[in-house]
This record gives sequence, structure tokens and C-alpha cells, in this order.
Amino acid sequence: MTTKPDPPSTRQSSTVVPLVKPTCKIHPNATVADKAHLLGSHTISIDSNTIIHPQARLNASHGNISIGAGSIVAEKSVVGLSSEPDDEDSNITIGSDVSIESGAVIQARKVGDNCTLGTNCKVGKGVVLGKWCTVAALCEVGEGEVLEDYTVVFGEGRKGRRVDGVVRERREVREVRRRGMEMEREVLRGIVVDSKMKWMG
Amino acid sequence: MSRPAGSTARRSVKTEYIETDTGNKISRRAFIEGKQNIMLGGKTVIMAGVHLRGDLCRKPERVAEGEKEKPNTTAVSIGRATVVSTNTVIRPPMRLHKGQMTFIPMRIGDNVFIGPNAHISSASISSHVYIGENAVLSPLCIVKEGSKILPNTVVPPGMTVPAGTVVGGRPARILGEVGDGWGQGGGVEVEDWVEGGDLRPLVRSIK
Amino acid sequence: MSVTSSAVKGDGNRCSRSCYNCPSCTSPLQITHVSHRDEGLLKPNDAAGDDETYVLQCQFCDWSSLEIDVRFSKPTKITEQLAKQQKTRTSSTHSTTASNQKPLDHDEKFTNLVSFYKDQLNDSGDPQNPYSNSPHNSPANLARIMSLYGGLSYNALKKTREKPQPMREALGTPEGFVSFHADRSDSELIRRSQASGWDGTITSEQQDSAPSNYDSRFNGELWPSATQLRTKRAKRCKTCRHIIARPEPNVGNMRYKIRLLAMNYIPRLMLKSLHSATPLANPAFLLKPGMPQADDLQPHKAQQYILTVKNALFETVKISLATPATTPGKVASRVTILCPSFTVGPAGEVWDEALSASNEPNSDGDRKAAMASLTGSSESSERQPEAGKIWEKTRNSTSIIVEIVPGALQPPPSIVPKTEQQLTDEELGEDDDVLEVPVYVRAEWEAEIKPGETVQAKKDANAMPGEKVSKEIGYWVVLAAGRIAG
Repeated sequence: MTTKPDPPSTRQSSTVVPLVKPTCKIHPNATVADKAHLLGSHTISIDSNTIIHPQARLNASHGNISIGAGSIVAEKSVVGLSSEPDDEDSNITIGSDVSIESGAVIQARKVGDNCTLGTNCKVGKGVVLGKWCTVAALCEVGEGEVLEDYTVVFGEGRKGRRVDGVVRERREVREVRRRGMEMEREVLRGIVVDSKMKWMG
Repeated sequence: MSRPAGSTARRSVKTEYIETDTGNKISRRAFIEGKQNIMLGGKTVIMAGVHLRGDLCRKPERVAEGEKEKPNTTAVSIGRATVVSTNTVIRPPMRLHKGQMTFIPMRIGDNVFIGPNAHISSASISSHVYIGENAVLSPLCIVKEGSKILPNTVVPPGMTVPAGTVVGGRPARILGEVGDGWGQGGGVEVEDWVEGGDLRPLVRSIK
Repeated sequence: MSVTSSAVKGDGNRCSRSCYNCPSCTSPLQITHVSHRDEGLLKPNDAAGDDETYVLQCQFCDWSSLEIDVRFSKPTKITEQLAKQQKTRTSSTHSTTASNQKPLDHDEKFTNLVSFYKDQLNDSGDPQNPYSNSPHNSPANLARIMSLYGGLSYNALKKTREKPQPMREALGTPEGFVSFHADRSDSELIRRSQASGWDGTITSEQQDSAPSNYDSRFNGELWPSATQLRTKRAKRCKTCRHIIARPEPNVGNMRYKIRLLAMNYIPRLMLKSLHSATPLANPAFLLKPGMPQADDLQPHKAQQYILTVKNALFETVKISLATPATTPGKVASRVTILCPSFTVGPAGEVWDEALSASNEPNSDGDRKAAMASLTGSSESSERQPEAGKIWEKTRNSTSIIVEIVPGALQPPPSIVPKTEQQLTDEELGEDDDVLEVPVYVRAEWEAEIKPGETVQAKKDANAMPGEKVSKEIGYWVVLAAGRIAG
């Protein structure tokens, strides 16, 4: 009684391809899925080994986006400002080894290296995240907040945050995480089909 | 709102759903990857904006899209009369297995209701489970039969939700049990469907 | 995994294996492998070496047992390893601080106390209790121990010290006696609190997570808490001792077998808006993303609803409904039931229902709606609800009209300035804007007594099988109409 679904509407989703293509600087080692959405008129730069899943959206309508090496941007996540920024600095800089999970909405000004931004979390405009920060699923970081390195956001208010001393003090823990990320990238590289040429054009 | 732009473009001529031989209804506006690795049990509904990541399956070697190599690798298997509401993400979890990262197949039972905008990365979801909107089921959690996950809940990684319990919060805790007879008493009419009960009338009503 | 009830008592209702919860956020902890060497991190379990260490890690908030500097040498028997580490930890602080009161944890104190009183009871020979030969298990002794626990007043203590009796109170730490000492310098605590600030302290909820955390005050002092076990219970009827629900014998399956379900015996109520085209679906559920959400209710604007009462019994039921004129709670809405008493036809067998459904695919209402959509004029909207009239009737359900005037969320502005108390009273909590109507339902019907059925009511005691007896049932239900717009 099992059956396979009918072909999904691939054609329809391709209509999503924006009229204005952003200027893309994609490292030859990076993987950008065919069905990822890169929008806007500003520059999007993606460094080596980074993986952009299908249906991830990088919206460079209001400023440049740069994503560091070895990051993963999952499906349904949105990176980019949704509206005109209030101040001059409208660029988004995402560090290396950053994991942006499904449905995360990232408008931060800067995301430090090795951050993990959980499922459906929201990081507001102008936020600056330090290194090794973690935002757990469904958590929010309000506009303009600055989080120090190793902060974990796992709830609401001040009691929902703490600085992870373990990660800060112990190299081996950090190493384990880095290695896990690396393995994930390795697996994904075999799965997500790269079509960065579509964007480089 | 993080809804992809394409989903708002409606085509009035075409029907919203494609119906398969076994009665599965799949929205034309669902985002399905790796369809050859997805099994649907019949009478199951996949609504618009649902992200189904069938491409994330256990296979270390390359798997080209649209290229059938071994059809027996299943990434996501969904039972009968299960409803996956709009904008939900279903993504098989990853785990370290014998020193290697692999995606492990996800199994979802029958008559499972998954609310809008949920995120599902569980290892397994048993039958007659009700999942509220915006719930996040983190990787490798296990949801047992007849349980209810309240809206906006985050089920932490590796948690087991026991059968017949109500969980909620971030992270999820067991808040209580579903009442006696939960899921019973659904009738044949559409408005009669109940949480945790038989979803077939609901599935029938979706067009 | 199942544990017998006797074992559960011994372990304090907590898992004694390897299940632990995060003390910081309560999610389950996972055993993660960490190696000290730079290479070979995250390697498979079979490649065991001397430098293997495992930690408990929370995947949600990133807490790990390294925070309290706890590592495990093997990924099994975590409880044992943890207890050992905890013991060495406390004993080491014991020797260094040389203050022998503080470091004892609750478990130890308790066991000390228990053993002390046991010894006492043994030694004293228990002259006060001549009735019992076994001094340990009699309830009288238990009561005495309890009174001793409670009687640790100053006078009692003095008394016991002044004239040594065969029974005396615990005096020192080895005997489980703990007194308050200010020597672990409160100033030290205050200083630490000042240094770490509010963020550095833990919440009382976290303190209560496990006995080992009762005395913890700061982040980094929390121990993981063993997962609490869950129980399975059967439920019996209060009057007739029937088993209503009982757990399945299979341990892994927590599902209950339900024998008698109230839902199959009491009339069921359904509420839907009179004027909306779509049925009042679950607000959590949208068929299409473009579909508008169910509109919020406008305050002071009368809304009419169809209340359908469906009969589950095989007899015709007389229903009387009652509701307070205004809903209780902070937002008072006016409610009027236009036809509070009516009858509902009997329910048929399930296959009856299925047959009738297949014979006429459209129920009466559906056909009318279809007609209305064809002709372009909605018949139902023209029809005016009348007081005392039934709106619609099918074989086993009857619909009536309920009029609801939602109240306003904001109270009317008053000329007199309000006190602070009034203002806080007026503040709406979460879900106070949900319009819920309590309704008392009374159902009366004539039932035939089946042979062998016991009659509960006394006045019916001499009724014979086959005779008709009038039965009635009354219960409260809450109907939710929606949220009131602010």
C-alpha cells in the first residue's frame, strides 16, 4: 500500500528565482543547492566548504551577506534583513562553522564563528553574536542585543541565558563539536547537489 | 513570516492537491526533495509549504537527484491518514553510527496530526499523536503512541515522550496525561474529527 | 524499561540506571564521549583506550557534567559512578575545610539519622512499648520516631541532655544531627553572590530538581538529577468498582485500555458560528496557507451560534440547558440560550449511521447550503432565529441557537482614579481573552432495565427488569467560542 508521491512542482518553485540576481562570490568548494534562494541586489559571498540547503533563503535586498567557511544553512531558514535597516550598517556577516538550522530567521549584523542557531529561532536586527554562541530552538534574540562569546540562549529572560564555561575552558569539547560539524558537512556534501554555477553566471 | 515567496502564487486552474492511487494528497506547493526515498502509507495529506527532506537518507555515497539507484533506501516513511499541515519541515535526524555520521530513517505512524509550522526531526513518531503548531521535535526524540505535544513546544534531542502523555514547554516536560478516551468518539462528519483520533474524515475533507 | 514497585521505593522514585536530566533545563542528558587526545575525537566505542572519558551532556542548553568537573570512565552504570564521585567530592572537602557539618549531603544525613535511631531503639530495649516484640516495625514506634523528629525543640534537647535516658536524640554529625552553623560564613556566600550577580545564581526550581541540589546556590554547583519514574494506574468507578481504564500488561506500551467511556453515554455538544460558511475548525489548523485565520470576536457585537446536541444513547433524551447570564472570569460576556429545553432523538447503531450517511450523502443542512450557493441567496441567513424554537433537527441531534455578546477586554474608563489594586485586578492574564461559556446540561430519559443490571438509585430498587425507569444525568461543559479582539 505504500506509494511514492507524485513529482513535486519543481517547475513552480523555479518561478521563485528572483528577477534581480545578486552578485555572488561563491568559493569553488562551497555547495549551494539548486533550489536555494539567493535574492536581492547586493553581494552574497559564500566561503569554502559552506553548504546551503535547498529552500534556504539568502536575502541580500537590503545589504551584503557574507557567510564564512564551513557553515551550514538549512532549509526554510532566512538570512537577510526583511526591511530597510535603520542605520548605515546593513551588511550581515556570518562567521565560519556556523550552523543555521531549519526555519531560523537571522537578521543579525554579525554572527561569530562556531555559533549554532537553532530551529525556528529568531535573531533580530543589528544583533552581534560572539563566538560559540548557541541559540536554542524557538528562542529569540531581540533587536540590537550583543551577546558575549559562549553564550547559550535556551529560554526567555536572563535566566534563560548563560555563558557556557565548559566550552570556553575546554578545548576538547570545542574540538568534539568542530569535528561533529565537519562530519555533518562531509555527509551533506554527498547529498546536497551543488549548482553554484547557476548563481555565479 | 518565513514562507517562501512561491507559495503565495496561487493557480486557480489546477487543484491544490495531487491525489495518488492510494489516496495520498500532496500539495503542489510542497517542497519535496528526494521523493524516491519517501513512503506514504495512503490517505495521507502533505499540505502546502511542507518541506520533506527525503534526500537526507542513509547512504554515504553520492545520490544524484532523480536518479534511481537503490530504491530501498527510505528516508521518511509516513503511515496512513496522517496530516502534515502547512509549512512544516520534516527532516530525518543525523547521528553518529560506528564512527560515521549518517542520517537515520524517520518513521511516522498512522493518524498523526502535525500542526502548521512544526519542525520534525524525530527518530520515530507512533500512531495517533497530535503535534501542535510551531512545535519543534529535535533530532532523535521518540514520540510514543497517543501522546499530545502542545503548541510551541520544543522536545529536546533524545527525549522520549511516553505514550498517552501531554508534553509542553521549552524544553518539553511531561505535563500530564491525555484524558481517558482521548481520541475516541470521532464521527463520520468532518467537524467530528478529534485530536488523537481517526483522521480519515479530516483527510477526506481536504481538497 | 520497567521497575517493580518495591525497587521504586528504595530508589526514591527515580531511575537507578543511567537516565539523568539536565539540572539546568530538565531535558534528558546524553552520554557523550570526549577524548583528551587531540586526534581520535569522536571515535567509535570499540576503540577503547585509557584516556576514554564520557560526560553527560544536555543537547538543549549545552549543560554538561564537566561544569561540575565530573567525568565517567564508561558509558554504563552512570548512577554508580556518579555516587562514587559525589562521595569522594564531599569527603575531600570534608577534610580540607575541617568543618564537619556542611559537606554531608542530604542522603547521608538521612541514612545517618535512620541508622542512629534504629540503634537507639535496639539499645533501649524499648521499655515504653510492652505490646510489641519487634521494635522496628510497629506503628507505635514509628509514631514515636516521628514525634522525635518533630520534637527537636530546644526544651526537648535540653531535657535529653540533662538526664540521659535510654532513648536520646541525635547529637553529632555521625548520628545524623545537623544544626545551623554560621561558620561557612554567610559573608562568603554574600561575597560570591555579589561577584556572580543574579545570573550566577540558580533558581529554586533548579534547586528542587534533585536532593543533591537543595543546598546549591550558584551555577556550576548543580548535579544532574536522576530521571523520575512514571507510574501506570488502573482506574475504577467510585460507586460500582468497575475498572474504567487499565494499563496494558505490556510494559513498553503506556496506553490504557478503556472499558467504559463517558463519551458513549452522555450527549455531546458542538458549537459553531451561524453565519460563517466554514465550520469552526481547529484554529491551529489551516487547510491552506492563504486562508484567513478565524476572526477574533468583536466586543459588544452579538454573535449567533448553532449549538448542536448529539445523543449517544438509544433512547430519546430530554435536554435542559442552563448557563449564567454572563460568563465568569475577568471578561464578562452575555450569553442567551434561545431554546433551553428540547428533545434529542435516539442514536442508532454505528452501521445505521453509516448506512444513512451513504444513502444520502448530503445531510439536510448540506443540501440547503448547496441550494443556497446555487441560487446565490443564502436561505439560512434569511431565516431568523426565534426564541423557543429549535433550529435544526436530525435523527439523533438537535441544534439550537445561542446568542453571545462578547465583553470588552478593556474596562470602561471611570472618572474616579483607580487604585493600584484595581489596576492589577484589571490586568488580563494569558488566555483571559478566550470566550468560554459554561453550560449545565441536564439530560433525562426513560431507560429499560436490562436483566441483571443493578439499579443504583434507591427509589428504583424495586423496579423489575423490563420496566421503564426514568434516569437523569447532569454535568457542566465549557464551550469555547474564540478569542475576543482587543
